[in-house]
Amino acid sequence: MSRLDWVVLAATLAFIVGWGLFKGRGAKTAEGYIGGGRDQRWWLVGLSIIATQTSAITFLSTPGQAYVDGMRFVQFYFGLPIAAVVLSATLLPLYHRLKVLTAYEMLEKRFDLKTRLLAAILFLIQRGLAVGLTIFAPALVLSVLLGWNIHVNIVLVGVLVMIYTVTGGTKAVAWAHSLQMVVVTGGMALAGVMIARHLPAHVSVSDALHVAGSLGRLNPIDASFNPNDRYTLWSGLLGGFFLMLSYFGTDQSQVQRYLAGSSLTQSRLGLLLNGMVKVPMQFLILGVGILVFAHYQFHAPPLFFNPGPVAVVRQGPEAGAYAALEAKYEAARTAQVAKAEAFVAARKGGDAGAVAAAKAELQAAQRESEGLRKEGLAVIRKANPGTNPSDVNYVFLAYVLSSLPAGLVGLVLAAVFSGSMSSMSGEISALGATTVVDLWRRLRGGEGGKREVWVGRAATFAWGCFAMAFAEYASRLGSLVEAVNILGSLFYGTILGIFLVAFYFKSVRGGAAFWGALVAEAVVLACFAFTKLGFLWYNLVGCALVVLFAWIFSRLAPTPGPHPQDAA
Amino acid sequence: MSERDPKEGAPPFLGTWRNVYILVLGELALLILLFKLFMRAFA
Repeated sequence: MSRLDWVVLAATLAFIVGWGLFKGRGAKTAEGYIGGGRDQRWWLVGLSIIATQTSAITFLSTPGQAYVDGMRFVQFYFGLPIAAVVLSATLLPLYHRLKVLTAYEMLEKRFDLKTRLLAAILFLIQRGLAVGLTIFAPALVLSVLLGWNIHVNIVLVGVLVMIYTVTGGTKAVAWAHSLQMVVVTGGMALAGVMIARHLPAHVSVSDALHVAGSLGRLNPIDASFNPNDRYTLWSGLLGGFFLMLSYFGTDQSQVQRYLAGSSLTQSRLGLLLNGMVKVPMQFLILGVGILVFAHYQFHAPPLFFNPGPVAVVRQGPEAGAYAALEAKYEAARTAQVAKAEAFVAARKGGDAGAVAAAKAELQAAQRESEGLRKEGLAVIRKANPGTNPSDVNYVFLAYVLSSLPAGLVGLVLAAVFSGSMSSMSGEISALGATTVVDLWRRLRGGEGGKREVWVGRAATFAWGCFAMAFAEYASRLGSLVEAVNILGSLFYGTILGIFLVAFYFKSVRGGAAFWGALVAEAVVLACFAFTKLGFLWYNLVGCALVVLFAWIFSRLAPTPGPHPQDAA
Repeated sequence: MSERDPKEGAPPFLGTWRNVYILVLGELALLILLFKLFMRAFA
């Protein structure tokens, strides 16, 4: 990294923290600290929602996902606009009418305290663990590629986030989010433009897309129905819909963002803005990965982009086998460059027969390269037992560090840090809010005065420290990291099911909903342990089972006496 | 839950929320169609 990169990185991060501190000053009540004063406009709500879900690892891994697997990952987000519409029409008016600070408050009004606490605790468990990974994963990538100390990196991000989040609460988080989104979007857009400009002079962006398309990377729609396949049109529309419904409707890290809107209209517009922006945004980020893929059709890439596991191989008994594979891969990729050049030339020649022949040769070369890469990966796995080495998160940043000019590298790194900070701030703010409102205030009593602001700050600080501690511990988890990553889908369906029962099944009382949720969660955990079901389907299964069991239990043992207070 | 919120107003554009929802869902349908065409164009 050049001195200019350091200046760009430091200045950007300092400005974000200062901006968050400045805009978040003056919270005197818990409603102001947790609810953000409920005075935000739709665009700020929308940016804050997008920033909370856009973590650094999304920013790093999405282009890598396109490089390795093509664009089909975009289908993961197809359920989001539908969920935004459903929530805007149903839950948002209810939340606003009840003037709740957390999503779980509504459940006590509808059911009882134990159901509220169950949902709040499920949220605290899954989000509390996930927030540590939010800062661990990018810190790991930066430490491997740049040689930075991972512990310093984790603490740096954690401390920067806590400075403005603990001090200013929801309002500081939202305003910092607005700047972070500018940095993330600007960094990614500039990187995309530079990658396109770095293509060989005779290769246009259209040529590059034809090369990527002929190798199967331009595959944003897969209409096949395979429940074990993570990313298809149907898993995105159905499984993704339930995941997004739960994430945006019942996850406090998102609910808190739109409840800060100055009115129901502003909250709705903010959520719907996210619904309209997210799919094209992900498509464009994947497009950047496609350009990186196209770039490496004209320049031989390394066999594996993650240097960490490769270093382990080089020091072990597999070093010779791996070196031989690297040599074969380099020769194969050099030959593939010639095939890609021939394909571009054939397309420019306009002879359909020549194009088809060049395409077939290019595809055969790609199959050979991918076969060698699989062999390389097998050697890496053998030398790194118990881990699941992947280079998806490393492809984009490795390209940035090797190819982009000084200053832009600093901006891209600032975007990575911004992604880490935006997710972590939204998440620890929500964890602090749930701890205060659903546990501390509910169980100990409180009225939301200045004392609760300090309790909120203490809770947010504690969750920030927990996130940093878990991020430190995550480096020892190995393959369990992947399991923690899908933790959201293990709990989201159940939480969503509780909310759907609350909203649509008025005859179901608290006891039936509570026990229905517990049984459903047990079944979802069993599916995770004993089946190969794609993780997006857990959301649908968990949600459907809560509704089913709650309905059955309410029929088996109807609660006598008056109906508890109905949220409606 | 059918009671209307006193703060609930019309959206600032398109007249009704129903029309805004149609816009959001229509954009999704259009994007899926465009992605499909994009995939075909470069396959």
